[in-house]
Amino acid sequence: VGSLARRLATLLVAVAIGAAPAPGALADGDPASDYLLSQQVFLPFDANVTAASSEKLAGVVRASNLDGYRIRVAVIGTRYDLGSVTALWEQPKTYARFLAAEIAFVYKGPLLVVMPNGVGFHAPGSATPAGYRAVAAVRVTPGTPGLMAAATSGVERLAAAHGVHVQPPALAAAAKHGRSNMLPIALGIVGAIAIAAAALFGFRRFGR
Amino acid sequence: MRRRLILLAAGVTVAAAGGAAAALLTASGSNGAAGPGVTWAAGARRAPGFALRDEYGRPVSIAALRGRSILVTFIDPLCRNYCPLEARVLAGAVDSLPAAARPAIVAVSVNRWGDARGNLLEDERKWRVGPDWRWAVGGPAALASVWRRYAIAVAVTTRTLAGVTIHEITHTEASYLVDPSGHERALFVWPFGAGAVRSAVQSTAS
Repeated sequence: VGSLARRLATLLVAVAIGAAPAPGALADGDPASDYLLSQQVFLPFDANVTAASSEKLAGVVRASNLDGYRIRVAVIGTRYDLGSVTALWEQPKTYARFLAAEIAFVYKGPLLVVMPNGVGFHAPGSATPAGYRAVAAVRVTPGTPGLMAAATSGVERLAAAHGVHVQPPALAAAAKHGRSNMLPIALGIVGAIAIAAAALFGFRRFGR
Repeated sequence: MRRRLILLAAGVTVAAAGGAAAALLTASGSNGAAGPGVTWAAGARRAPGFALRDEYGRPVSIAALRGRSILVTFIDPLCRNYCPLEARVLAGAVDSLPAAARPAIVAVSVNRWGDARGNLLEDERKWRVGPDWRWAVGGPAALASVWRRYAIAVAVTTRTLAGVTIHEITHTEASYLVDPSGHERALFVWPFGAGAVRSAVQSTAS
């Protein structure tokens, strides 16, 4: 009975996995490609990102998107943040292209990647010389504050190069230092559920 | 095309639901109502043996740990979604037990491309798994044999994007409890809670 039960249990798990062959859905890939399906910003794990800098970057990105310049941002602090694509550590330009391909089924707009050694920009079909010049002017200073400042500056410069002048958001008075690791995960998951539900709803509706 | 998109949506839904449950379990610090998926009576099923190496190159096997409970889990060292959560739950369960009653955690790698010692040690540090955690790595054939004997499905998708080849791993996210006599006593399929693992360890330790 035990053997049968074990086989049944593991079979169910295997079937569950087998029923979802879509790459990236259940696979252990790079985490930024999961987050950026539903979020506009991916922040590094365990990098002691302050709430103030996180909120400032998120606000600038949000404002840029609302004002007409679409952008998503991945801030990569260490090799660890790259998951299964550690080969692309310190290759922000290549990783930007890679990441853009990873999330292209949901988002095809401009993408900014910031690593300690520089920034990468990929804008499939909409890249402009002004955009690349804007990114080339961004410098990354050491440490997490340097990464966050470069990301924020990069978005502001890119938006400005496309005629969108974003205003830095007012920081919440109650902003605390540090952040929960679980909150962005939960937000990402909830977002993914929403995307999947919308997709399923759409298929059902239009499949009739 | 439409079929692929539907499967994709279904896959994301499954992943999202599992992830949400896992995140909520972990975030809430829940003791975990989710118990083992399967249990076995004492002496009913001997745990398959294996001989692999840990993160320091030392031998690691079921036989060498006889006399102590073992949590045998299957982890991708490069995973950044469920594996770290499962590792923390297992480590939390072990930490909550008296030192003399703590099981060893043997984490068998499911990603031979991610088995570099630096990755293993970094995971231990980032995941805060404690001294009872040991990785178990080996050659492709040895690892595949262990996965098969523990009925762990591991699928590898190799892709080249932007000129970069990556190996993405999809695997059964599960852990076995092996009692001190070397017999399997419970199978936990993710998501599960630390409380359930702790209870199972306590009830099978003697």
